[in-house]
Amino acid sequence: MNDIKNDINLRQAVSRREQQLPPMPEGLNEKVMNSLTPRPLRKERGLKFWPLAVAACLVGFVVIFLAPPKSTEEQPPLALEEPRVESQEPRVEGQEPTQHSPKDGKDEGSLSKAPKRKRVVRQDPQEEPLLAEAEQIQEEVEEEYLPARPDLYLLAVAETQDIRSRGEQLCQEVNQIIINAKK
Amino acid sequence: MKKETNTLIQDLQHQKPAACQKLLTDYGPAVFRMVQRIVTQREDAEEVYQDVFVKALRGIGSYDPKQASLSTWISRIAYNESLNFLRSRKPNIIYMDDRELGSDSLEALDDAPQDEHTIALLEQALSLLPPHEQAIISMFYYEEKSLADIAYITGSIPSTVGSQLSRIRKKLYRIIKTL
Repeated sequence: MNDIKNDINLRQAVSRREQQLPPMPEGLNEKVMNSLTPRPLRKERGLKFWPLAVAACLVGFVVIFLAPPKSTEEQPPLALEEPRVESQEPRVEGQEPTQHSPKDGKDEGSLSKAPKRKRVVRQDPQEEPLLAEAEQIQEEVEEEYLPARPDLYLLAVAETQDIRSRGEQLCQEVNQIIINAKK
Repeated sequence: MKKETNTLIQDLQHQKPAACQKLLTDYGPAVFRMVQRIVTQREDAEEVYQDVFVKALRGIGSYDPKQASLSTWISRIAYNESLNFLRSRKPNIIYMDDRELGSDSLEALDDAPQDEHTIALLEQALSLLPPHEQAIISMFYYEEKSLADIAYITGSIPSTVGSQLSRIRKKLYRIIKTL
């Protein structure tokens, strides 16, 4: 080890060789500093922008695809009317029938679950033809504008019965096959 | 000095621009020298130099002062980055291999007096060594780094570095016989 350390010739040769190396360029450190500085800035900007973009996309998706159209303009005209319910109390002559405003009721705004209108009993014989005509028009409008909504319960019952009958049929066929195989 | 280095490390971990500037000013010349020993093309050396500091600043959190000094740690990055750069480039230089040289006795060289002719030949011979061997010789003879530090930089152990130095030295004297 000492021999290696004490090699004057080699030490001198290495020293001369090192001195021949060109010095470091003056502007190199500034160049490095400039290349180091913008990196974190770019990173921060990216971090701020992307969550906003993602959030905006999500909100847009929810609004377009998931939220049901609730605009009042799209609802049928009858839905905008206040439902008239016949009062349970006996009516007094000359007194206006009491009406429940939608604000009081729980079914406010629900088109499908709105209680079917009960016909108001009018005792005035002169008004009866007019009322009958109005109700007829109302029914026609209801049939035309209200979308036909299938009763889900009835559909489910029908589906169940269908599945059951098919199952029974299948069982019979299997039994028949077994009997035939035994024969 | 140690306190100053600790403060510098802390500031570097907090990515303070002033600390980056100080790191470049204090350690830059030594790093550039190390890179230039291995990567001889100036433009390439500048590129590697930049990469060394980018890597050093990214990895400052993993620096352990118990293992090595900050300068040794940066030298290690510089050494590895330079060799990686050379490996990524197509090698177009053929270096002297030990097997191409004979195994003559070199006992007479141990106590050789200073000789201008021998120095000149050794200077030429140094340029024929592979870059990593040149770097080891320079770290030992010029920078006077300890075997432990050279071992840390090259990813080796001190005893291996000692035997490497001995082998490279013998190789140099064999080369000068062929010149």
